[in-house]
Amino acid sequence: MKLRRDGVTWREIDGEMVILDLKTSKYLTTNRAGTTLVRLLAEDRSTGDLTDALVTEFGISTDQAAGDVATFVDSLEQRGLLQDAAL
Amino acid sequence: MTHAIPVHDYIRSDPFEVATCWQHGLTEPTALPATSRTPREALEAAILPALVEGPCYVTFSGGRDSSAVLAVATDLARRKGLPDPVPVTRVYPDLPESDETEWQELVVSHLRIENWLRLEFTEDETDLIGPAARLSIRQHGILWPPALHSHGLVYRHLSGGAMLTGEGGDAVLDARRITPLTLLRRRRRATRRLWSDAAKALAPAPVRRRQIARDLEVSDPQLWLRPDVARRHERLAAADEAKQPLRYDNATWWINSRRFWATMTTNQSLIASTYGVRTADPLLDAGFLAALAHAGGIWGFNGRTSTMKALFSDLLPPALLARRTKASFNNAYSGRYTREFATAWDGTGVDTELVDPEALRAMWLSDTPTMSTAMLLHQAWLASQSES
Repeated sequence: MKLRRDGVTWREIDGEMVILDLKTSKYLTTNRAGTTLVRLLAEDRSTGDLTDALVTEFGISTDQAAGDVATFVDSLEQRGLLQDAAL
Repeated sequence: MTHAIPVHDYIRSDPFEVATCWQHGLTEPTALPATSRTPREALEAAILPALVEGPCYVTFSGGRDSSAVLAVATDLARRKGLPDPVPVTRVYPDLPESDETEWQELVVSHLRIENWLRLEFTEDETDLIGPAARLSIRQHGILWPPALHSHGLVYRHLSGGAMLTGEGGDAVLDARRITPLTLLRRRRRATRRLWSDAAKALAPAPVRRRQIARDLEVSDPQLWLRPDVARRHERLAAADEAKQPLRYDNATWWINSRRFWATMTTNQSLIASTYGVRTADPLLDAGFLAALAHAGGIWGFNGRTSTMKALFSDLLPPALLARRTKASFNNAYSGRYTREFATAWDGTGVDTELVDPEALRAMWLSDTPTMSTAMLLHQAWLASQSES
């Protein structure tokens, strides 16, 4: 999976990711963990990649990281911000 | 492009800068300095020397910038037991579009100012090549900004002293690149325009450069320039503008690096010094910029009115703080001297590789003159004098 490119723009500002979805006129911001994940999702990533990144960067357990990733990915999907990498 | 700024002599413009009437480029960037001052404290520190040395005058149009400087200077003078600063206003009875009397009187009465110097002029007196300007051009040469050559008309009415200006207010107190994002973040009602501006703010630098250049070409077509010269001007101006950092604090300090401010303050102070007048531009003071940058932090204020309210709401009437109109003084610089010269002009004295003389003449004779052709007017007039 990866972030949708069409009509979506994002930029990191002082550790916080600001995401604009110009199609739905939605302004979203993330916390530091979300910023790490959005950075990675500029390219095609698996949930395993994202989980490993949170474990490495924040020193949390794999279970907790997997839970955080699932929640975050679900939130992006609900907002229509993800696309299949194959598309 | 970076430039070293000399401070001991007039900063001269090259032929391209004369043709475009602009100063492209940035000075060497420096890091935002730490400061413990609030913006008001920093502004007062920039103003105080003028009040102490006295007499202190303030150029006062009734606009938000000069009103802010006048209000802070007046408040500071009274707290320090110093004489009030004297507002100095140019009045053009024949130019209704320049009439700011209502706004001026609102501010003057609000501040309870008793001594107000109002100087009446005609557009012929302040014409870009009127008698006063001609004297100044001969004495000091072609300068940016070209309106400096009419300042002597005001300075000669003063008894030396210091003149505070509101120069830089539009740039310093206005919105920044990040402001549309700040408004979205603070849940301001999102219009199509706001979304568009927010998207532009986040676009990569090359995209922003192209967009700014296109906007310039549409909004400010300099038809007297040869097409390749106009495109070069737009590219350079856009390249400068696109370098504005995203964060409010960095973008505020970045204003300090724009080369035209150094040119303006240097040339203005040198012209004024020939009349025994010292000039200061408190809104461009580095200490004020640094303090404002830190006060605004990453996201800054919600725009111009919000900035004015944050900084000056205790000193100025609410209507003035929220004022959105601006008087036009362009016709104040275009009187019969310009028209007579333009009509009789043989097209010599300007670089025809950069400029189309007939398009230039048309602009000088236009009902809506622009200051952007003023340096060329000075150049052509000066050349005509050396030939005669």
